[in-house]
Amino acid sequence: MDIDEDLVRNVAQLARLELTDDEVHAIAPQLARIFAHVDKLQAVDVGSHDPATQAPIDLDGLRDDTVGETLDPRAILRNAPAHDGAFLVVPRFFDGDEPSAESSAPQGSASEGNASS
Amino acid sequence: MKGFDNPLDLPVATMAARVRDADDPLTASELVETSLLRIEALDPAIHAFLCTTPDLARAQAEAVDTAVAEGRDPGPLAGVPLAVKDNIAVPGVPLTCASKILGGYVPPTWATSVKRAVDAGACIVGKTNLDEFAMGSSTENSAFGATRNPFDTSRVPGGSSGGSAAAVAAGMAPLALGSDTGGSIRQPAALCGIVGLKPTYGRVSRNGLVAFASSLDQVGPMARSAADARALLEAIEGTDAADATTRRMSEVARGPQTGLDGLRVGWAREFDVRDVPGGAPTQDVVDGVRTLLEDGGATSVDLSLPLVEASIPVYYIVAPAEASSNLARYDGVRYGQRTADAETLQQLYARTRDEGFGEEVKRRILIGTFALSSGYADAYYKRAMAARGALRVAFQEAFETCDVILSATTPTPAFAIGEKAGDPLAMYLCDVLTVAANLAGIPAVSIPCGRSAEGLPVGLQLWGPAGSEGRLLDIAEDLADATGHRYLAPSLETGRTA
Repeated sequence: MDIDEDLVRNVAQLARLELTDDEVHAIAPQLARIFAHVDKLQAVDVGSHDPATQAPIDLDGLRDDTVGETLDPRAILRNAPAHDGAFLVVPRFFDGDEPSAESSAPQGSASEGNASS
Repeated sequence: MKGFDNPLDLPVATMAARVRDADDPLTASELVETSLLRIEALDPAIHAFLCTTPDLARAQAEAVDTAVAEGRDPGPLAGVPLAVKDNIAVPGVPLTCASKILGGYVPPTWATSVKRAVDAGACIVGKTNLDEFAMGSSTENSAFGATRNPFDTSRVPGGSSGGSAAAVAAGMAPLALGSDTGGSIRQPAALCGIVGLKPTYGRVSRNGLVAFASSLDQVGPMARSAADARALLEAIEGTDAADATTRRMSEVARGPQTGLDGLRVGWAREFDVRDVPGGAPTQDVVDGVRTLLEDGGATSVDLSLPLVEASIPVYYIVAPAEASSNLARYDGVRYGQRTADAETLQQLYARTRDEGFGEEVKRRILIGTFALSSGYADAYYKRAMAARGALRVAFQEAFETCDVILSATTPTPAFAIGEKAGDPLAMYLCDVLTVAANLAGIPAVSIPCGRSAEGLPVGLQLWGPAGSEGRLLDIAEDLADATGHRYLAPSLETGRTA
């Protein structure tokens, strides 16, 4: 597997990592060496093993699907870098030209409803 | 008190029994104060702790002492100081994973494992250093500086639970919790001369453990003896509604004293490190144990586990793949740090992650993202998972012919700080003797097995079938009796004279 700087940039974009040119330059040869080692995998005899059949979860051991205690949303919001007391605040994520349903929201912010994940 | 000038050096069962005895003057508060004093005296040279929690420890100790005074039983770990790796949640105490990206994060809930230890009477004295997000084998990848090995402060303590290992080895806390995704409890335990156990996947709840590779991660005990490790494991294990992968398993209590006579011990040729650079002295130690066991009536079973040789490639696909998904949550929106320089949401994600993650974490996210990407997932991720399944079956078949498999825990003793820092692949190869247990989901424990020529600790690893922790710890105790190799304190100014 050839790993070059273009591939690293592409994968970094998929991973939402904005790498500097210096980082890309340093990481590309490291990944090339690592994958040269990992490629030994291609020669391994794995028999007829199905990779999808090893979930170790005991389905008989699942809890009942009942409502339990939940966390106080305020305790969750306290850890957020920016919030307005009820919602997490992030930069606008629609293009500027598009009409926004949030036009009356505070400047530079948009609401993202679920604060409890 | 014979042999122990400081109560913090007592076996955990003795320490707790004395605290639980209302007629004995030893209190939980005294143990906690002694631990905090040792941390204050020793940790500037070791840097095992990212923070201490004196208020929490004192409050927990007071609750234990009050229970004793009122005739209630505070539990089997009564008053025992406990260090907690800083990827395991304690409510109200900052949780960093040794990463800048979690700056300012304070978890609102308990990790089940820590809560169970506290419910058994343990008192939390602090959070310990680790490689960022538990990714590393030396505790050098911490955003808050490296931890040093108490036996030689120019060397690494191993990792990623290096802070927990160093804290126990230096006598700062008798018990610590670590986490093990590919060897992160056992490798630092070996390099610091203590006992570290990775439980069977599903024995200990992962609720409240920050996820690295969810199908491999386990929380486990680190201690000065197998008996102490057993005491902590008994407290923290068990099913948990908050972790659907936990399962009921056989008890870990001490079994009947059957000794080593008749024990069937497996020796896999793939675990022989004689030909690894620097590995010959380690293999001499392991071979010495084999001779001693055979002289004591144990049967040696020679095994071949060829898939073990693929375990590093398999691990360095599966673990980064899961990590790339698990670490997607660090995006500057819900917790931790956020870049100051973003106009769009995409910039906010990408710049926060570039500024917040360290080099090794970025490397693993890239490896995992690539291994899962369209066009490559079949060649890498799916093939690795198939090999993993085959490895699991190979261990099951091996344990039909033997009770336990023995190997070294690491090819060489502790290396120098900085020695492998510029070579990620060399660092990954440190895990060659440990990752297979995580891939197969089976338990393994590292125990002290003497010293190298330079005086550094050497670890011996015991592997068992799923659910066999109790038996593994029985064998570990019997082996310590047979070899005479036990935890020995490093020559630090620890206030002990033994």
